Amino acid sequence: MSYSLSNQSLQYVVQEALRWEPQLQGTQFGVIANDGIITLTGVTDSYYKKMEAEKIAKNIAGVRALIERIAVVVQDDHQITDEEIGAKILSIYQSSFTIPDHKIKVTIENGWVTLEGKVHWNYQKHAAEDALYTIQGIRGISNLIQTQTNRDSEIKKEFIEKALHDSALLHDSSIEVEVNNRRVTLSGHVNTLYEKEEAERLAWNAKGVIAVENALTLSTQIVNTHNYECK
Amino acid sequence: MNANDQLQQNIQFALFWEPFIENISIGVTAQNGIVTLSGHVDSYEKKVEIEKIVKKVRGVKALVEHLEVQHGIVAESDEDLAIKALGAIKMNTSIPEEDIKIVVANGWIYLIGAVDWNYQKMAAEHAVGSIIGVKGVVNSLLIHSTTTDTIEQKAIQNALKRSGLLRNKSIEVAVDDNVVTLTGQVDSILQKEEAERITWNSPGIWRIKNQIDIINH
Repeated sequence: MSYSLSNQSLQYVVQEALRWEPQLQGTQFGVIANDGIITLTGVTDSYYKKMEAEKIAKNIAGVRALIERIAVVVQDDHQITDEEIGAKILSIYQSSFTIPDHKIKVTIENGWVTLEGKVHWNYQKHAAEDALYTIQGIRGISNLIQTQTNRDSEIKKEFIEKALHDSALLHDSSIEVEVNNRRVTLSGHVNTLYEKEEAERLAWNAKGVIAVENALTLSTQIVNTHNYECK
Repeated sequence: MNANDQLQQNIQFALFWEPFIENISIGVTAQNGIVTLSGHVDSYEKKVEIEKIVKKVRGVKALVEHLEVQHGIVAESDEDLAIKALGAIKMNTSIPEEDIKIVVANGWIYLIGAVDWNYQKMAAEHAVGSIIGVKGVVNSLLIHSTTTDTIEQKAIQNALKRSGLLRNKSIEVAVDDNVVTLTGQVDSILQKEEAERITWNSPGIWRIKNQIDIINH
């Protein structure tokens, strides 16, 4: 199979997958495929849809990397002031148990949200960002939160290995774990970007980790076009 | 160690491995892949997150969840919860607020009505579930697609094949009027639920019979 043909098939599969999601209807996405690297372009009216499109693309086998260039343009009648966005963010943070709201500084400029501060865990950093996706009027998020981990605890490599091994999502992947100076390196092979991210998330859950080097590779093998019927 | 004890231990480890579960004590039992959780948590949101973690563990075929939400703070009145629930539904633009009725009783929120799409049903549940003081959510929203399109069996089958999570799985799709029946075999609850989610995206669908089996290798 030549490269150009597989590029075309992957482009088709991603485009169809985006079309299948009702919440993305009414938004037209451009999809460019180049040797497993997908670029998404287009204009949408909410940050949530941009993130949904990203999520869908990450769960397609054959997508090895994702470049996301979807712009959020909020319609004039939906435009919300930065003050209103700020109030919503703070109220969401207050009610969420995962987010240490007193440690996070929020700045909003023309709908663009910047998060800063230091938290103990990587999951808190991600939760602070994920909680904002559905807020109307947000055009983008820069998550500059730093993870400052407790350095007293020893990192148990076998615990990370067990967490990866027991995951239903990663059950047919074999992942090697190395720990060096509180840095965890993951190597091996997974099937989707979604799996790659889940492996990284599980590695971050080890107490005392300061960095995760995610060297997991993805194959370019795409949906079996023999079984897949194009219209 | 027998398989039940092994699964019990794996679930306990998976819960220990999530830093957000610190200081919660959860009872876990496992019997032929059916996992039962018991204990108390201090928020509904936490209960939902714990459920998600357990469903991601290899070997879990079904989950029986007896976690009770006990708030440390003074309980919110049902009136306050109702006001907050309406606000949460309104704030999320993907939820058609006019189609959803909210009933609150003893800290539980009941969602009643019919929406066009499953993602709207899920968004409504998520929106009210993250309110402080909620003890539980009963999502009785029906999905009544307004489109008169007939369901395309082939389109659903293709959508299932595109999913990276369901790669190499053969799932059969049968359509009978507005009802879709899914059969086949997968490895995890995660896959079974994703197959259902993808199927809900089909226009014209009212009901899914998810008869997919979860098998262990």
